[in-house]
Amino acid sequence: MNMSDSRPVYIQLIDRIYTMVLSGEYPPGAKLPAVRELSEMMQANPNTVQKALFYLEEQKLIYTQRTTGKFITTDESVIERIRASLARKYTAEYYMNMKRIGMSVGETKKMMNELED
Amino acid sequence: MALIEYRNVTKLYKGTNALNGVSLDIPAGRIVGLLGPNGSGKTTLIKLTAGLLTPTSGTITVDGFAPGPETKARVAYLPEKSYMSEWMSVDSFIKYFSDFYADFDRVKANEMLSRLGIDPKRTLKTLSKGTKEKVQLVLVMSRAAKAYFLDEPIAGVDPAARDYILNTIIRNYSENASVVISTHLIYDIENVLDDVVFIKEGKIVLADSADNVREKTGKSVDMLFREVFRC
Repeated sequence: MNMSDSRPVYIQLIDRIYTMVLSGEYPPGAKLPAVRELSEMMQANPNTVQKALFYLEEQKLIYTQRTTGKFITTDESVIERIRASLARKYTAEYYMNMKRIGMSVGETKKMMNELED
Repeated sequence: MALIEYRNVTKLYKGTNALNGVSLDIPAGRIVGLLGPNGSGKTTLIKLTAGLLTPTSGTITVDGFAPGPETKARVAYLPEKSYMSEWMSVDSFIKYFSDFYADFDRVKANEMLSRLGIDPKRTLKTLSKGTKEKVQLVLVMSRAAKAYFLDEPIAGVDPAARDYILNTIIRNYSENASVVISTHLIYDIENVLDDVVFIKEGKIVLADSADNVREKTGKSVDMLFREVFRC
């Protein structure tokens, strides 16, 4: 985790969990570790992890099975929606950085194409 | 009523105000960072809570009790400087703690030590600084206390030992107890904290949740600390 990141920690945790899900580390239907275990993994406060999970549950990315724990949704549309929104955010950040160092959109696109091969 | 309450606590030391009118509530189930530079009053506040010092004026209560035998039974305290005799073995400290504290869990302590690969027969003087810190933390965290006061637990230990210490704090988290960690190394611990308390020249200058600080100021706790305590 980037400690100089000034965003609230629960928001940073949400982003990390998004990445874990989208990268396939926790595929649809996978069981999430318990709060305490997640806290240790992310070296973050258990109440903050709880807050992040609460948010993700409201978003329907995860659901609670009363006795067995928390699971990643099997509803691919939720996952695709999150993937699209993260992709938009990362692209905007990338363009902003390129703009800051004096690259035009055209030049940036050209570099993206060059990356492909 | 909060688990720990400070009301207008002042401590005079040789004519200087080590603490000056401190009022603060620490609810149960929180991990609190007591943050300030050296000499700001962190250790004084902790020693007052542990019952090792008495306030010049003002009151402190832990779980409703004024400092005394009842609070010593509820407060687990990790001092900044080791009070442990170098010639004693880890084993004898475990015995010592289980004799002294009714809430000490010997099985848990032995488990934590064996997971660390520490031979309980060894005397303290044969252990590295980082290992000694870990042993002391194991002893303190093996109590089922209501409040844990850790005075500079991560100062001067290597990153692996620091990770162990932070993970031990997280693993032992309970919603019925609070953990207060004093440090000036905020960068390392800020993601573990629920609440932050800035203390400056014996006075509390900020007490808020860590996420509120970030949301309100747009700065990490570490960044804000550097600003507030700029020399």
